[in-house]
Amino acid sequence: MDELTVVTTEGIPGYRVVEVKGLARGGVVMATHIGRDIIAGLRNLVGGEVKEYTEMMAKAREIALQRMMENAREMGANAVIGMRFMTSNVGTRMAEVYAFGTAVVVERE
Amino acid sequence: MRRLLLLFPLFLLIFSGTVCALTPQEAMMQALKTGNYSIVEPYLSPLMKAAFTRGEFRAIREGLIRGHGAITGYELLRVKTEGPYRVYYYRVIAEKGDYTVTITVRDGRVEGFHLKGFSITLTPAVLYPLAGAIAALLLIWLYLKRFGVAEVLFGLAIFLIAIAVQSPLQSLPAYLGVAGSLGTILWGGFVAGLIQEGVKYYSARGKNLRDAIYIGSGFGLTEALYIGFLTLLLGSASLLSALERFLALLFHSSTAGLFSYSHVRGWGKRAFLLAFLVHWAADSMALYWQYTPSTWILVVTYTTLGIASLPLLKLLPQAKAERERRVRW
Repeated sequence: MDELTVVTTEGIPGYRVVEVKGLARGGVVMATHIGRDIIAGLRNLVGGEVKEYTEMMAKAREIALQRMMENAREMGANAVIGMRFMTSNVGTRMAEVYAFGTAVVVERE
Repeated sequence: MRRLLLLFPLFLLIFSGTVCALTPQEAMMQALKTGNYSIVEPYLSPLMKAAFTRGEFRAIREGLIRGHGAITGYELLRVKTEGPYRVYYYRVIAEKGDYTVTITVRDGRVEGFHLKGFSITLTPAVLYPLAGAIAALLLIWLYLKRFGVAEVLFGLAIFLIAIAVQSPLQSLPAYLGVAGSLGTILWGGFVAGLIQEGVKYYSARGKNLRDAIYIGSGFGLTEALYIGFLTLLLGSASLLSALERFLALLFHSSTAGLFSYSHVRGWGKRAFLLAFLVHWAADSMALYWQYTPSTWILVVTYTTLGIASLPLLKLLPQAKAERERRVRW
């Protein structure tokens, strides 16, 4: 398995865990600029999807995931199992996205 | 870049050579500040000499000091042309509070001196700067097809931050009692270049090209609104201000775009330095023109802004071709 595999399950079908490397994690706190905050505020008045924040959170998840994978590679893992996202507010207009999972070495059964 | 840095002092040297002795309006302000009537006397027109005698000057000055406190400095706010006359608006910085005076000059002689309270004058000229900026923004919008409302609003916000920091710093020499010298002109340009380009650099880097260009546009548009507001308070503007704001908006869009472009290619700081030097030069020339109006200074200033806008010719097609960032929802 050359590429790093990330799954939310406790195992990968067809593979067995041969070594647990530890907790792999990556996080980011994101904010968007004031222009988008203003537009988002206007959208809030009329309802519907607030695309500015949807995009911001999607990007935050992507960055957190990449950082977690980088962390797992540094530990010498070739897979992350039981991966989860966690999110929380920081201040009024910032959000933290945190990705974590168990970094493992797997081999084909 | 090193060559550019070496050329800049040379440019300053040439530029400084053109600054001459006191202008009539400066002589009047120096006289007002120091209380020395002899400074302004040679610059008064015959009619003014008769009306504005030494005794009259002393009485007016003492009245001003009684009302507003000792004069600590002054700064040129605006110049207005009315037929053969040029009217210079100065903010006088006094211990108890600032006030505005106007000095009317014709053929190198002081023809009038007035105290002026701020009044709002609604004329179509107020719209000239805004019209110029909107024309440039429309041009960018028509080319890029998609408008960046949020980025324009962001540009507005960062302009307000920049002007809030820039204005007090630019007035520093006036508060220290230095005004009207080459040093204050260069200081004004230096502060404007450093603060405005600095704020734009930190806002535009890391953004995609189209967003960065619209951030610059929002910055330029707000600057035009600000100039229009000053026109509303201080008098009329000529159609030339529309051209100036047109070029200024393109300049701000160009440098903001350049910051985004250069940042991902690893030469963002050099791009900032270049934009800062160009802005410094252009603003210093514009300030110099306020003191000593001359057509060639204006032409050089506008040409500088025009040349600095040329990167848009490369940046706009790239921004248009830029793919939408793929977001995994």
